[in-house]
Amino acid sequence: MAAEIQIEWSRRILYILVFAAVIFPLVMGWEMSMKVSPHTKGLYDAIEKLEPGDVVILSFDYDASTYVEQFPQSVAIWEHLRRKDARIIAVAFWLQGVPWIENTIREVYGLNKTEPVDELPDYGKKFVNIGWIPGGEVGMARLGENVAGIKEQDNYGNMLKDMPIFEGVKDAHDVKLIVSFSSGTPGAEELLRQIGVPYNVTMGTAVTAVSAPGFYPYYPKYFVGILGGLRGAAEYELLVERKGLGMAGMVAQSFVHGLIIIFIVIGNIQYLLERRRQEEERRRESGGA
Amino acid sequence: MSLVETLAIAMAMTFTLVIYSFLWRENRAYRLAEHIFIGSGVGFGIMFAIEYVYTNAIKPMGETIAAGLTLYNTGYLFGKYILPMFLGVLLYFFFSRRYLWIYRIPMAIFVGIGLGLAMSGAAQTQLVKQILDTMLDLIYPLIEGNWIEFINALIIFIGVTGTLAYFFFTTERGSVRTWGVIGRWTMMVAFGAAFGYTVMARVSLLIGRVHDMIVNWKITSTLFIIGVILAILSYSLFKGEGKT
Repeated sequence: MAAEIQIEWSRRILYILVFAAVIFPLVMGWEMSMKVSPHTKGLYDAIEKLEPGDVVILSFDYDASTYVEQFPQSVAIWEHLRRKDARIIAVAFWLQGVPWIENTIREVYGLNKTEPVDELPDYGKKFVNIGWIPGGEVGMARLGENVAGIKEQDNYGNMLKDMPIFEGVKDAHDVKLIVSFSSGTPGAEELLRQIGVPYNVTMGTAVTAVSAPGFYPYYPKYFVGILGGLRGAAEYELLVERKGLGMAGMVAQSFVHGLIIIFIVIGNIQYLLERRRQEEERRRESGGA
Repeated sequence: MSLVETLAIAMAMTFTLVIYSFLWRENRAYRLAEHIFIGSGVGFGIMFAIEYVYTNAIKPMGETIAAGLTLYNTGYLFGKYILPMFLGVLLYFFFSRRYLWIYRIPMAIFVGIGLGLAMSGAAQTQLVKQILDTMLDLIYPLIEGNWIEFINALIIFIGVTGTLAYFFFTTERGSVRTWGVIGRWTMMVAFGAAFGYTVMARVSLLIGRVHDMIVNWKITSTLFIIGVILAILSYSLFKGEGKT
């Protein structure tokens, strides 16, 4: 019983320490220097190579449960595309990805919650929010076949056929780059096999840290760049010189990682000591017998 | 900031702290927040789906009928709207034990289309090209004399073949089994990297919530809410609610 209570309280103390390790650097507003990984640089370079007016599809396949990692990624990439004067077609194959398209636009263009997105002067010319495309992988295949005609209306009820952004855009052959903000299925892998490979379109992806190791085999042949989690977002923010949540969270991230390493070392020492104690006990018992 | 926005942020922060209170022990406040989260998620999905069906099916269908029904129009109407909607409606037979077999018809069509689409692309990108690249990455640097790339490719090659050998169960001993030991170590390294990334992802979520609390709300208000939550938890602790 005493051991159970001890474990219970040890667990709680660990959580309190982790919480403190997160809150302290964020309150203090500390920053740290970091190196940009080749995976992040690859995507940055691909966007740098774009010409003004090139068509880019951004696929928002995440929801609120991973927004902390993927919203800063979306904002940094959209900002970069805006500076390059690319034509951005935003879609979501996840139903709950739609609000994150809108949140990203509001963040990049500095709109508040009440200002309508589709009344921005660039809307329909430089970017469009098509909204949700149902059907998962089937929807992706349809988007590849007919980018401009995938839906009749955008997310706000405006007719897509009247928008100048779709001038000269028929199918995915007319798209220069696809970036998938992917946190599951359907996501980047499905887009790669439905549009990326069949239409030979350059693809990049921004994924959660959990799924990042699964995407590295695709780099650089299939995905020219991969942003992995909050770290990827921070690196991209550094490249486009737009400070956001990614960079703000890096010190806290490092603090917690350090703390967890200490926990692992302590846990292992405790395990070894316990094992030695048990062995000694067993030896004493067998010696006594 | 408007009153509605302030209220929304206050609610978001309170729910965040209530959900994290589970780490201390399970309690009624946590369960309430969990149910509200699931309920609002489902509600959002239903609302969006109804709106989607109305905008993309019912409304254009009505417009087509209003424009006058010709032979072409009727075929278009049937193929684009009526048949898919009919198949969609059949899915609701899932709830009937007697007519469950009807539900299987649209399901078979959806699975068939999905599988057909996925298989060709998956075989190409996730199997054939990955195998080819594992081999070719080993050969090209050797021809070019790029030794660093060659060593990198060699490590990948050994790891891949070792992992495959580990899952080759037809022999109990011999070189395949020995090679499988390398595969086991490769997998351990991969699992370690995946674990590290998982920790990073979970910590990122906490960072995001704490960052929002600090940016959107005064820290004093946050501490006040923490105090309230702790008070509720202490109360539930004394009342003996919930078991960890």
